[in-house]
Amino acid sequence: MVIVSVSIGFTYLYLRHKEMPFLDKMAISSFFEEEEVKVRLYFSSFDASCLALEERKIKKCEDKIEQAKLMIKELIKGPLANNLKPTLPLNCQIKEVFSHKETIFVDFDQNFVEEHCKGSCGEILTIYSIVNTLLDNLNSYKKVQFLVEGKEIETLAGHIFLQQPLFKEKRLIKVETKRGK
Amino acid sequence: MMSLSHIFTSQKNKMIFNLKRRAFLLIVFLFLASSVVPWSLGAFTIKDILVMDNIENLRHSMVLINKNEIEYISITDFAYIFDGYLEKEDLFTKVIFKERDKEVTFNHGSKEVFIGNEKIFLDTSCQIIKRKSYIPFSFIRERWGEIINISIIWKKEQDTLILEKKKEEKDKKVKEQSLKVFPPPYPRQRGIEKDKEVKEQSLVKEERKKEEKDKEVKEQLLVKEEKKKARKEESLIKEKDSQEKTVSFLKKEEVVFDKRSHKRSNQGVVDLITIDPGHGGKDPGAVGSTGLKEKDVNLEVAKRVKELIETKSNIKVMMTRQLDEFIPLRRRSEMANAIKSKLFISIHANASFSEGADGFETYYLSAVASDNTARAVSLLENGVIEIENGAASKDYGYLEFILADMAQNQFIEESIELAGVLQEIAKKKLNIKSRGIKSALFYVLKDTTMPAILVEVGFVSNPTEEQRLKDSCFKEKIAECISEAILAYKDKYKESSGFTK
Repeated sequence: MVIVSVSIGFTYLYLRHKEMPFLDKMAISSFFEEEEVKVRLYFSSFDASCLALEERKIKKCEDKIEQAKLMIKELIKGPLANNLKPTLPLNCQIKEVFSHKETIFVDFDQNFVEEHCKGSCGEILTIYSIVNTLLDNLNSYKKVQFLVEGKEIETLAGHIFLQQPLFKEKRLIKVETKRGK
Repeated sequence: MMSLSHIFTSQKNKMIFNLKRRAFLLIVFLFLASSVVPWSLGAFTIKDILVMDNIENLRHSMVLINKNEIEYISITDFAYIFDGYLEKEDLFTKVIFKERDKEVTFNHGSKEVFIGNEKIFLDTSCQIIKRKSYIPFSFIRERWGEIINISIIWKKEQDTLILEKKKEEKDKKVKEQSLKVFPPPYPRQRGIEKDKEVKEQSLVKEERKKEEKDKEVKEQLLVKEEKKKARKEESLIKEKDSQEKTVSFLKKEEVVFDKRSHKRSNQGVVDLITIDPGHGGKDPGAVGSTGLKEKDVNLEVAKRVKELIETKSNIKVMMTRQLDEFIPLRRRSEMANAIKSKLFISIHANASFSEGADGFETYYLSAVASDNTARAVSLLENGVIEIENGAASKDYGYLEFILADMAQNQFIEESIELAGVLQEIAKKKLNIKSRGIKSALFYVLKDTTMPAILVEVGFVSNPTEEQRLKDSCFKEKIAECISEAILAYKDKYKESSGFTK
C-alpha cells in the first residue's frame, strides 16, 4: 500500500516534470528511440529552371533550430534522384542557425561563397532552395536572413540582394516544363 | 460465531486500510502541492529582445525576465554585451569591464551597486531567479549609458535596445549603407577591431576612387555643376513623393505605381544609356571548366554593344567600366543615376551547379515590399517569376507594388518591355534556348532610376555554351541582339509620345 501510493506519487511527479519547460528533458527522452520525420527538400531541376521537391526522412529534433541545421546539411549532401541537381557547394558548412521572432538566420562558412558556382541562375537556386526548404518545413518562421562567417553580405555571387531577409518564393516551385527554342 | 467475528475484523481491517490509504494519498498530495506553491509565487515571464550594438556593429539576442512587473536581465548577458567578465564572491558579483576601465559590483537581494568605489542605489534589488543572477533592466536603460558614455535607447514596441556613440562622435564616422530594414543578431566575434580598421581603410579608398570616377564622368559628358544640383533637388522631391505614396497593404491606400507621373525625371527620348559589364577585376564572376571568365565575356560584349549603338544612332553610351577592374555594385547604379541615363543594361554570363543548364535569359527587378508593409506575407512576391512572352504579356495582376522606396519600382513596366524586346530578338537570331524573362531582387538594379535589365547571355558552366562564348563571332551576334533591342525600344518609345501600352 505504501509502495502503491509512493509509486502513484512518483508517476504524478513524472507527469508534472514533463510539463515543466525549463527542467532537463534529455534524461527522459533518451528512453525512447530516435524518431524520424519526413521533410520536404528543394533541389534544382535538371535544367536549373526551377526548384524541385524531394522528400526525405531525417532524424527528428525537438529543437526547431537543430531541425533546420539538419535540413541544410541534407541540402548540402545533394539530391538522391538523378534528375535533380544540388544547389549548394559540397564542401560548405552551416555554422550556426538561430532565430529572432519570425526570422530564421542561417550563418554559413566562407566556402559557401568561395566554392559557389556563381551566375544568377546558380545563385537564385541556392538562395531559394534554402529559403523554401526552411520555411516550408518550419511553419512558425516567415523569413530567412543569410549570413556568412557571422556577418551580413551584400550578395552571394554579385546578384541577389541579401541584406534583407527573404520570403518564400512559391513561383519557383513547379513541375519541370520543357522550354522550346 | 467465529465466522461473524471474522467478518467483523475483516471489515474493520478494510476500514483501517481505507483510512491509511487516504492518509497516504493526502500526504502525497500535500507534498506535491507544497512543491507547486512556491513555484507559482515566484512566477515570471520571459521575453526575447534584440540588442543592436551600432558601435561595434554587432547584434545580440537576449532574454528579458518580467517578475512582478519588474524587468530584469541576467548579469551574464550584461557582461557579455558590454564585453566584461564576472567575478563572484559570496553574495557579491563583480563585473569587470577592462577596456572601459570600470568595475561594477552587484549585491544580491540588495539595491546597492558599486561602480568602482562609488555607491549608487538601484530602483529595485538584484534577484536570483532559478539559480541565476539578475539585475534590473532599468539600470541598463537609464543609468548605464551615462556611466560608460554611450547612448542607450530602448525601443519598447520593437523589443530592441540600441547602443550608439554619443552624438558628437557619430558625426565623424563615415556612413556605410546602413541596415534599416531588419537587423540580424549574430554571435559576437573576437578580433572585430581589426575588421573595423580594414573596413574603414577600404571605405577611404572607395571614396577616393569615387571622386576620380566622378571627375571622369563629368569631363566625358560635359555635365555642368548647376544642372547637377537641379537634378539632385528634383530627385529628392521625387523620393519624398514616392515615400508618401507608400502603400500599406493592410490599410488599403491607393496604389503606388503611377507610370505616367509627370514628375519622373526619365522623360524624353533615349539619348544616353548605361551599359554595365558585370563583375571585373578581383571578381571574375562565374568561371567555366576550361577557364573562361564571365567578366571577360561581359566586357567584350559590352564594348561591342557600345560601338554598334554609337555607330547606328546618336545615342551616347556610358560604360560602368571599360577595363578589367572591380566596381562595387552600388557604384554602378550610382553612376547611371548621376548622369541621368535613360536606360541601364547589365551584361552577365550565367552558371549553375547543373552542367546541363543552358540558354539566354533576361531579368528585371522584382517589386519588393519593405518589412513594415509586408505583414501580409502571402501576397508578397519576391524572387523569380517567369513570363511566357514578355513583350505581349502585360498582366501585372500578380505583382503588388507595395513599396515605393526602391526607385526602380517606377520603371518596372518599361523594364519588362525592354526585357521582352531583347528576349524576342535573341530567341530568333542567336540559335540559343530561351529561358524567358524573369524577375529577381538584383542588387545592381534596385537603386536605378531608369528602366533597367540584367541579361545573362549564356552559361559558362555548360561545356558547349562555354565554347560558344569563347567565340568572337557569337559574342558579336549577342552584341547585335542587344543593340537592336535598345534601338527598337527607343523607336517604340519615340512613336507613342510618352509611354503607353
